Amino acid sequence: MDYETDAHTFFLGANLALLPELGINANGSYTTGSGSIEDFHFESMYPTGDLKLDYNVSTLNPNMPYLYDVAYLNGMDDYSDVEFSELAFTAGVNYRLNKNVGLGLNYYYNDYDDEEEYVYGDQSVTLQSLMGSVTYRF
Amino acid sequence: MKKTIILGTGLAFLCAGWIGTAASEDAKPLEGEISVGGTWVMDDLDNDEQGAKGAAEYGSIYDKNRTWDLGGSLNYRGVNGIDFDAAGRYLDGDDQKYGGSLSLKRVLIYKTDYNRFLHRLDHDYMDNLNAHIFQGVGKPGAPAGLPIPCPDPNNPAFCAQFPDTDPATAGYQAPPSSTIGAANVYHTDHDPFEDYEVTNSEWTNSLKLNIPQIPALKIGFDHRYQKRDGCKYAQTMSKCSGCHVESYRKGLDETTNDYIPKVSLQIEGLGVEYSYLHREFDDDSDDMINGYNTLAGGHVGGFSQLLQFPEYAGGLTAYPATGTYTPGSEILPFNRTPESTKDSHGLKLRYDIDAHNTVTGGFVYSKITNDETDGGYNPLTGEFGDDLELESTAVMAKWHSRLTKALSLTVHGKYQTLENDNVFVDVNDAAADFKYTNEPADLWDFTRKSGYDYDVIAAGIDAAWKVVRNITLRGGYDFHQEDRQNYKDHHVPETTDKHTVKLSGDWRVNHHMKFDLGYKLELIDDPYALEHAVCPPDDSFATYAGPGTDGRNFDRTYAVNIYDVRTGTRTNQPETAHTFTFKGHWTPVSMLSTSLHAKYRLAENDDVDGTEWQQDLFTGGLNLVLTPTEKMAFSAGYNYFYDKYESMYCIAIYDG
Repeated sequence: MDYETDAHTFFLGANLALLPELGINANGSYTTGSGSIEDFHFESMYPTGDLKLDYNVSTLNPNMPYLYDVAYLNGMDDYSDVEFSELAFTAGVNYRLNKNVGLGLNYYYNDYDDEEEYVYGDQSVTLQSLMGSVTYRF
Repeated sequence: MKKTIILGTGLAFLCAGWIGTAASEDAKPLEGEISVGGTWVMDDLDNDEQGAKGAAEYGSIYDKNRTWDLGGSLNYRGVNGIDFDAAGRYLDGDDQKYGGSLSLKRVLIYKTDYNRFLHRLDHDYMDNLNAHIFQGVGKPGAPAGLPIPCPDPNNPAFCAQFPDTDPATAGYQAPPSSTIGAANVYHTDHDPFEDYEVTNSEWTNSLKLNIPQIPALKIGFDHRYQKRDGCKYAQTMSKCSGCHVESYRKGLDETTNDYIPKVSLQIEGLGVEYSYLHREFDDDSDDMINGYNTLAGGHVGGFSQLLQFPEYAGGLTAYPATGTYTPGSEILPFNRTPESTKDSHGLKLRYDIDAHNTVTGGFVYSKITNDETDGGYNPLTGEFGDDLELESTAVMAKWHSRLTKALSLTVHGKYQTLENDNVFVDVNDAAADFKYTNEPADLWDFTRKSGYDYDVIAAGIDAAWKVVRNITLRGGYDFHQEDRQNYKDHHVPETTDKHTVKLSGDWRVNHHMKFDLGYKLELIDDPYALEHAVCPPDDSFATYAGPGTDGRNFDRTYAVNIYDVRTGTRTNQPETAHTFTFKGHWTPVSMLSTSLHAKYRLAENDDVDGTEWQQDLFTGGLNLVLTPTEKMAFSAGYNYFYDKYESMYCIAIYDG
């Protein structure tokens, strides 16, 4: 059995002081990752003569005729797959009204995309928020 | 999606009035800032996104429409030697951070920090594993032991949450979160609608006292407080977990307090520091429980009830005449994180022999006491009538010498011994419960010998040689040995020897370019491994045939037929590991800085039964920073991670 994971992360950022009283910044990152189990295979084997483990349940699922068979685990090749991407972006602007008072406004964007549901189900989410503040320095 | 906005700016201007008085002073012994604002969450967390990742995992504000954003700092420099600094930020009750320091003429220095944040946790519904061969338990054709009852039959309100709308099984109640089948035979989620999150709080304090009349003496006191409060998803673990997984909401309420007084003395070239640690870990969290149902019980009558040690309707003497147990009594607490205390004494020595030679030494003795084992003897609840203690004693020494201007040498060594108490377990023997009446009453009693009884010896030598002005070579060798006392009881190697050889060098080509190269070889003789862990004889599982039908024939159990006959040794530790590292820095022009880094590790172990174990790990990255002017800065980068394991997958199924 092989278990393979990989991840790529790209990021960009900029900080600019366009005017003595004005500054802007922007930062972004993109991450994509995956993981999977490969080369996983069991031959069919189940205990015979046991009261429950080899119980015939073929009427419920013809593809899995016994309650327990080690070959049932072969589906792990598929449902072990992990694949996700995350995009995060931040932009902000700071403006100084005078030597004491400044304004700040920041925008945050985050998108997590669970492209292959894993153990905990679909954990995708998109979030956006805006933060504004007034700062007084003394 | 919700769209409202609030910017709490009004308070800022109110505060500005009184602060302005201080700002107008010329000397400005007082400086600081106050920031008042708000957060508008445009896309927030919905009810079905509680386990979401990304920024949601640690952002407590994302399930709210708006919050305050309050911050500030204050710095005071007094002419009389009193300095004061403070800073803080408040976003939400579960997102706040503060810090501060006070200095009284540098004689008394106090620092404190507080941080509180939320961590959203996952909920494993077991729905995504294709783990079941059928859903809708209780349908016609279900095997013996089915249909499966509501997991808490004495709680009608709980069971009413799971109505079965299928006309074929009208009236039957089974949680939709219960599944049966392949990856796990049976799963019961006792809290399927629970959201899980934990609030983490940490508060640290540090006090230093420098006595002017005795400048060589320094006295200090540190304190750390940590609290985890909330609830998490928890699965029970037992010998039945291979097939039957139960999960519960586990309330968390853990508190840790560290108290660390210390004193140090510096007399010319000799420095001595003594510190004492007293740690208290208090745990008021919920206990985990095992509550097997009829499916997970033994396959024959004689086993099914003894598996749980339940209370019988007519008392033990009535068994097996009645054969019924009190509902709910089959639930057992397990896996408690014990409340504990730790006391540790540490002594550090440093002696500068001359300008080129330094010797350091250390001694640490610690004792960790399990505070929950001294009650009345009851091994099922972890009470053994005595404190359980883990003692550790370690001594270490290091000599560093700059032999010449170009060559330096470091030699170090360490010895540590750990001793953990053994525990005698008096098993509630089957003979006493009218089973195995032909066996001695103490047949299953045993002494649990700890895996934390072992000695560690470590030694090494490192050298650094500046070959020419811009090239430095480094080399070293480390030896590490673990000698385990109770290796026979735990079926692990008695001794593990690890040899590490390190080679590296850095080459500064010119003022614009520099390279670092490194290689490390690790050779491990008998790495930690479990003997007899896997591989029962071929076909023994298929021919196992289950327990005996009379419930009294131990020779027919899974332990004898499969566990005890396993032959294979497995581990996830390497015998050989190679690690290569590279770093490069290049500054072609003053405005552009670049760096490149890479690491590759190949670890192998072919001295295991079954297939070889191997790990390939690679990480690498590139970073660029461009600063065309002092007022402009751009950065860009790329990081890559790759990890591949090759191992053998083994199935453990415990059949009642």
